[in-house]
Amino acid sequence: MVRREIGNNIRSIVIVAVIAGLLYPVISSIMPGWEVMLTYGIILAIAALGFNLLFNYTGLLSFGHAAFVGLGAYAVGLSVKYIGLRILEVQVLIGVLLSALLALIVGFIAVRYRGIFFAILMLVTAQILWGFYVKFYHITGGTDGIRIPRPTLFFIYDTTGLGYHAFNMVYHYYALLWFTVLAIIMWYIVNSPFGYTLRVIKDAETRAVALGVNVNRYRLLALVISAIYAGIAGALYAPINRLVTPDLAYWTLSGKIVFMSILGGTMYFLGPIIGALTYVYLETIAQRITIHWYLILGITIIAIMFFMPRGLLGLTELEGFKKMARLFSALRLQFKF
Amino acid sequence: MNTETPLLEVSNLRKYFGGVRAVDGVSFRVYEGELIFLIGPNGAGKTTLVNLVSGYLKPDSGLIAFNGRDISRLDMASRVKLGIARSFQFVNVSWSISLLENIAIAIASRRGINLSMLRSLESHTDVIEEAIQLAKLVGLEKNLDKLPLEVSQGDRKILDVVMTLALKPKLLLLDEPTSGVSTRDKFDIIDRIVSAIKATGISSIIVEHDMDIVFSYANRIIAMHSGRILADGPPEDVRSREDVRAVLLGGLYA
Repeated sequence: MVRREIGNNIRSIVIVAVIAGLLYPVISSIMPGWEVMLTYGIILAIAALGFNLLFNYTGLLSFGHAAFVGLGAYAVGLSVKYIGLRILEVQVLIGVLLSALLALIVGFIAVRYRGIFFAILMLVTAQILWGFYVKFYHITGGTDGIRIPRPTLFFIYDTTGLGYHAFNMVYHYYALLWFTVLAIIMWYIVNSPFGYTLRVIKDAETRAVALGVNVNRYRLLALVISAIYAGIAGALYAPINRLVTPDLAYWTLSGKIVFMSILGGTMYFLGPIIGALTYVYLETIAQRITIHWYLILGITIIAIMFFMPRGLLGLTELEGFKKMARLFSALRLQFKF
Repeated sequence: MNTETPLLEVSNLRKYFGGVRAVDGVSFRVYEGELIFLIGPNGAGKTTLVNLVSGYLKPDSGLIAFNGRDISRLDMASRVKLGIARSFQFVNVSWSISLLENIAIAIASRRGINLSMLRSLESHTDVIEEAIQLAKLVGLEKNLDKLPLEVSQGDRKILDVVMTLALKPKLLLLDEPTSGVSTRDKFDIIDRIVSAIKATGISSIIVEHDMDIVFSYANRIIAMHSGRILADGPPEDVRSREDVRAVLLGGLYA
């Protein structure tokens, strides 16, 4: 089977992970303080991968993925606050279960709708949860949020004693491990018979029905998987952010996940990943330039939609890039590397 | 008259859209191995009849029996499982995946492995192999790696039919398999489709407008007009009917 899409293979996922791993010490020595964005980037990439399973492969636009990110983060926050749980894997599991449960409940109704109706139902879900986190401050700490102490990783490795930089570094590689495993699983999902069935549902729903496919059940399953990814991202976000606030369930975060995916190119498997990694730096740079940084991001997304609707990875389809790729493979043949 | 149980028995089927009597008291039987062409002017109710039999629409009244079992209230997916498959008047395939992958998904659906998640479609070699064999049956093997938008309309129409054949149905409903194809290519396409149908021995109902095609391939013709069956029988009987000629053939085949 010919796949003309760039980077739609496991090798590319591993390459991205290795680069994200190698870049960390490099950035922290050249531009101290900027390396932590890389950690945020790979964590948000997990959420964006989940978003794109729904968007590009199932044809459902979710404007409410922050609902699941927030749920994952509050699973960590509330379990620390009320039962003193600090084993992160267990907290992630709680986040996964809650996200899946919410996706099942909302999805039961939402997958019967398409387009803007689905998008709005998801948005409403996220906003309701946001309202809950803000208003029930005696439980959630309101807008002050919940402080997250250092977690215990792999059930035994207590990170409490680590210094600021040491923890950030350990946590980066820990998150990178999650990212790599989840990205590879997602690759299998989108390239499996299930993933292809989702594409048929997206492009030709009546055909899917004519093939005997229970369309709504597949949509629901895709939503649950997508929610689990966002939930894991939320849980992993909490310890590096050291604070869980209602912002993590606010519509702007949902918007950011959409933005990242479009920035990287939703048509590509790697798109949301590249998009998330680029976005965190774009946002940081914009914030350093001006307090009106939303303006810069807004102009950026308008520019992307006009000039590169296929996102950053769409640039690889330009003739110039193809020439360079051909030159590179010729050099590789010549010099055998 | 045939005495065995008919594969499909439609009796007194009705479907009105407001005041439009799209299908108005239609009755017929289809037996194992028959190749039927369904003809009629635009608005005669052909597509509605296909929609009713395939389960895309529910009838207002009347009975649809398949292998002696009443299926009028079953949804489309359940009818597919019983063995009724249909194609569409307009090409209805996934545009973002290759022809091979489209066919493979239809096969995966029949085999019930659509929910398989942790193995790539490519690694299901038995499914891929079957898809290639099926494509060869209709002469589609050359462009299998292309996307539907990169091949001719003829190949797209064939793809639409192959996805239906991949379900290995007992009854095949093809809604205008040659629509949107030039007159020159029509015969080639219907030739490939009909020979594939004959090779598999599936009972088929084909909606078709081109009378040259109909009279060259049919061994039974059902002619519809205003939601009713005007004539039903072998081509020569249908052709000699005065009323059919007036409505359908415009005197061309006198």
